[in-house]
Amino acid sequence: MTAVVAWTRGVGPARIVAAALMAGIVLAGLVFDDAVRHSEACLSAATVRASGLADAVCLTDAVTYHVDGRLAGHAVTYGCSAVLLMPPVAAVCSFLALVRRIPLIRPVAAFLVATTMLVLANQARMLAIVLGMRNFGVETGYALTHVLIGTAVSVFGVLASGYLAIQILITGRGADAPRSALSMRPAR
Amino acid sequence: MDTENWVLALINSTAFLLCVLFTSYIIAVLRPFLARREVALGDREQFQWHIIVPCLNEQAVVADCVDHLIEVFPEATLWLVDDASDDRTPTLLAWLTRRYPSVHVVERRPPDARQGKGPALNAAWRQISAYLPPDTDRGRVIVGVVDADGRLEAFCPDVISGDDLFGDPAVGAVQIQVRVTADPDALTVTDIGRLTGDPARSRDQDLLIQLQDMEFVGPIAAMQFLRRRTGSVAMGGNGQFTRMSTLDTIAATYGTPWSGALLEDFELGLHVLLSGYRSEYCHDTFVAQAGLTQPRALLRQRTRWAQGNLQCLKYLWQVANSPHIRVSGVLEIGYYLAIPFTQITGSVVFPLSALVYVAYMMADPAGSDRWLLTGALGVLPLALAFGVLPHAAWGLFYRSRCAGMITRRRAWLLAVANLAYSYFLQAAAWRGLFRLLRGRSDWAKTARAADDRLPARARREQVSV
Repeated sequence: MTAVVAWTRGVGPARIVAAALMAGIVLAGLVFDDAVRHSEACLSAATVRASGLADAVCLTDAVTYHVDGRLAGHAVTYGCSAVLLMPPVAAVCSFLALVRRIPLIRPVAAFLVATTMLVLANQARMLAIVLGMRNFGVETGYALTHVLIGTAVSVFGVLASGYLAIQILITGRGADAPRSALSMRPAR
Repeated sequence: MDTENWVLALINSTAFLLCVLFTSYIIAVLRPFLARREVALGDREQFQWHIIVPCLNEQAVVADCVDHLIEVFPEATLWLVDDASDDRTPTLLAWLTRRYPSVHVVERRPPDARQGKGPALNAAWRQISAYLPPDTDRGRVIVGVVDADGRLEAFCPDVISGDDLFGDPAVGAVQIQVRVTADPDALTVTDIGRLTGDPARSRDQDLLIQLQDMEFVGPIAAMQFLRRRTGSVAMGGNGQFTRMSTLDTIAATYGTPWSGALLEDFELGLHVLLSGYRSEYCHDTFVAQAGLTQPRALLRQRTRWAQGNLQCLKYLWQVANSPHIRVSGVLEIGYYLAIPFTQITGSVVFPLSALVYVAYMMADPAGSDRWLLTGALGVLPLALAFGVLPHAAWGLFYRSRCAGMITRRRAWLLAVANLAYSYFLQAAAWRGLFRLLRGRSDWAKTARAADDRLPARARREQVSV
């Protein structure tokens, strides 16, 4: 108990709260997935509308629109949600938020940028599916895009999100200037 | 929440994340590996050299190893640690001390003996420490570790004395490249007859041995190149060199230089970094060691590595908070320490993903072909890109970048075999985890392929010993 108290004091309440918030946000997203998927579907509908591809609307976790005069659509299932890709980001950023030598802003910024990037990449993936259906017809377009091209977009999104997060974490003050043993003790 | 969909989504997403994580790590390690440059030679006479050779029942190999070290490294003082061998090793060591004045034996007897490699190395460190005159500049004393079947490349001491390595006072430890072969002598000889003869050609070597060599000069070396950039170079068991002053600093903090983890070499590397020294990797020289010829022995060895890796997780918090280790180093070390977990998770989710894929294909009311054509076929190039390519590529790099003396056909064979090899080694992570959970930390030495034969030299000298 004493060790936990000492550890808590050492880390500081702000860092503990920040770490818990980041982990908690992702955990809540996993548990309350209906709300998250509905939000992603609405965002997807807005993106499709904004891109001028179709007059899309969202209904719970589905996005519907017309392609070649036929009613078509896609659903944001649990497996299609960006939130499932977020736990590693949350784990790493929450852990580093507890490390005092790293300015707290860094893991928090890395978390925000990485999760935003994942959401955007997921939106781009869904947009690619709509684009595929518009250009190649509903069946062929969906077949071409929802696994191969969709996954390629997701890979790019995960890579970009990881790269940006790492860059935020490893550059700047305190991140890349280790203190050498030689500066602390006389050389023998 | 629909439980079935939730489980399926979790399996697919985990498999996807592991694939991307692994592939991006491979890309990250390949960049510095392919862009490497040779280091400048230094002068071995700038340093005082001590080589520790741990010996536990090494009668088959130790005499040839000592002969070799005396020949290529006459400046070095050799410390042969007899860890209570019960074969003819003690007799051979006694004979070697009579034959070579620079050879010393460190005797360990029960109950202190056979506690693992770390305690054996600590015993040698104590004796070296006592052997050095009080006015010795311990920053110029280098302590190396070579396995009893090891062979050092002839220019090794000069290479690691260079300005980028021990020539730089901030460098506390250097790990050199490890080569694995059936005949270590063939890799380290300098006479042209043997260099061009059949033993030097690796194309006919045992496939398992060549896969181990490919692993050491390929992915493991590439990881070390990335670590050079992140400031987190790891030490290996064979071919590790550490400054005496660095060992002293570690001992002052942790009690002894080598501690109790089953991966005592990696632990030493962490201690070097935590003590504020830089560790370096050198690919321009090497130590050659005999490869394991039996899959069972290999699995045992890798189980020990995996368990040792898991034991070292306890350092993660310390590493993260150390002012001496860059954040990029923290991330790299964290990734490495997590490898057993990613292997264990991967060994579950990858087969499950494949099963789900096949189950969906078979159950589709429109037929399997229809199911594949409506998009599922797209999984195959992805599986190839993420599940096959990152493993198989090393076969081709091995030929072009590491060991040119193999044919293109052999390189392709190695590429395919490396897939099976990589997935086979995932079993070691499971075994390591089970041993850790059961609280088992005992370990028997991995048997060498040469253990069943006595060296010619030992047979020749049997009468005079």
